[in-house]
Amino acid sequence: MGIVQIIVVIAILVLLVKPVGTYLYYVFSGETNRSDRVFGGIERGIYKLSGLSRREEMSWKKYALSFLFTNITLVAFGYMVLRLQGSLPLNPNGTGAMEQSLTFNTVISFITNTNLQHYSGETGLSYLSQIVVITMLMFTSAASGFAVAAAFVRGITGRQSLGNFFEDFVKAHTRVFLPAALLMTLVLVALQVPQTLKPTLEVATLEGGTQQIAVGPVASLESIKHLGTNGGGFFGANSAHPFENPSPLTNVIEILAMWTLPASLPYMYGLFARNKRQGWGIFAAMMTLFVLLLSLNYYAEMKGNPQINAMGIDVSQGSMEGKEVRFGAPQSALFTAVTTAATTGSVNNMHDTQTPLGSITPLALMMLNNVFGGKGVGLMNMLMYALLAVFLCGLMVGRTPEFLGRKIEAREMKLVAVAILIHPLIILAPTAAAFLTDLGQGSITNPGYHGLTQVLYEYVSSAANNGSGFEGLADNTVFWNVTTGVVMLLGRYVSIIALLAVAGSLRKKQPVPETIGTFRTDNGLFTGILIGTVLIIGALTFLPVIVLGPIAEHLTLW
Amino acid sequence: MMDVYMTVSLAVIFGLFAAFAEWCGQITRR
Repeated sequence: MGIVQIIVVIAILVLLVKPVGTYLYYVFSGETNRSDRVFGGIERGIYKLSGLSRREEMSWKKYALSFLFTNITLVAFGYMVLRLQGSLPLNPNGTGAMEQSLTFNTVISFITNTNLQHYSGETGLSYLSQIVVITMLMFTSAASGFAVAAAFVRGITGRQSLGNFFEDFVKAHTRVFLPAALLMTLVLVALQVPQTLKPTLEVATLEGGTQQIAVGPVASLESIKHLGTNGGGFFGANSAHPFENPSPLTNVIEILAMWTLPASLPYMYGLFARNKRQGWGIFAAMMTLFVLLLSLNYYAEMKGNPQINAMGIDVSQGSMEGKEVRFGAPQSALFTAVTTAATTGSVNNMHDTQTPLGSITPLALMMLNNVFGGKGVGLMNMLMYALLAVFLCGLMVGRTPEFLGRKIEAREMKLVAVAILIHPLIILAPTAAAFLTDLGQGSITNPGYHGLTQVLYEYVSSAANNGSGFEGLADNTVFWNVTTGVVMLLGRYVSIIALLAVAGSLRKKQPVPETIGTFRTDNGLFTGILIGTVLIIGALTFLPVIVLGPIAEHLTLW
Repeated sequence: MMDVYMTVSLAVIFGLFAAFAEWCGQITRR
């Protein structure tokens, strides 16, 4: 029954890919379409108000700098509000100012689409901060990711220009995230998710005591949290909390909300490339890797922990440690795989208490960082590996590598190499550094192999801009706030800037005519080579540390 | 004082990203 639930959700996703991918193509291709009549007037009003009535086509560098400038402006605004929230309105619970290093971490976390939360939403933020900082950055970080992905796709498919960042940024809001979030918010409210500005409730318990129950504008945050692959919960328990994710139905809605847009981007790319098979090839590579790693988590969690099983506990439901009874192990496994594949980072079960083998799934998906991936950047990362695969094949057969009719030369490969290697560097180096310092070691609550995985997971999640955590790690300290903050920034901006440069370089090249000797990138052979390239690079860089962490821990149990 | 450290750090890091974009530009022009 558990497998059937998973297959049904995947089938719904596959059915959504084509219509959503087509819609995204029309949003970002600039071709006249019916959505112009609905949203065109609103966008013209926004352009007029913000002085963007004349929008020029941008070079890749101007596009990248516009992206950076917009982001740092939003960071400055968010920093000020969080530091001043104690004296600002919409603060019925009297929440004080956020500590400086935690503010540094939080604004970086949300502008980079990571949503690593070293605070607990119920006690750390005022309603104003939840709305104008957290929810606002959830929209803008997702829209930024979509915009740069659209520019990257335009570049590698040889469109006339990379576009205009501000126009893409506005369109991602008006035509994708705002309408989708509004619709999903209404659905969640109908399914019992709270949406209120009332302060924390105080209720009488059956034992005659009193209990405080936090409420707030949850549904509006919950919708963009998933649609934007953000992942930061209103409550500390995230989507395991019954107010964020009350039922199996809301669970499936949240899974599809965070999965559909990233899964539809390859189809959009195929339409840009004027060859849908290109898009389906990328989608097939992503789905193959996803199913492989989901299967590992499902198998491990259903098998359970032998030391707990030996206590005579019913094991027919799998390992239920850290899981919600209303979801069960299968829906928890699917949520875990989707939230780390799409780099959302919301959790409906505690990753820290998954079985050691099961925890390899979220780690591996974030280490690969291209299996669907976050808003826009997942597609960019997979296409980056496609460029590498083409380059390697070119070396093997002695031909100049080509991708979509454009020659891949040393300058593109240098930038691709930077974008690929930054990811393991900003994971493995800080992990090692954390073990060399008392500041890092002091936060580990499970010494031994699991402690290594706790630290590794924190940096993997930061680098992949995921935001989930092994929450046993005591991470709200200056050391963790600053180091993970820097890792999140490097994980977000270095690869995006390098890949925009690649797109700008490829766009200027004259296409070479296809011949019988051209290496095709729209067939099953290339999809297989792409999967192999991703796995080889991933294994070479991360297998040693996975052996030291979860695999070593697994061997102590079995 | 801590606010100064944090905000200046953010400004410097974003400045370094802009410099990185410039370096990428030199690579593509070369």
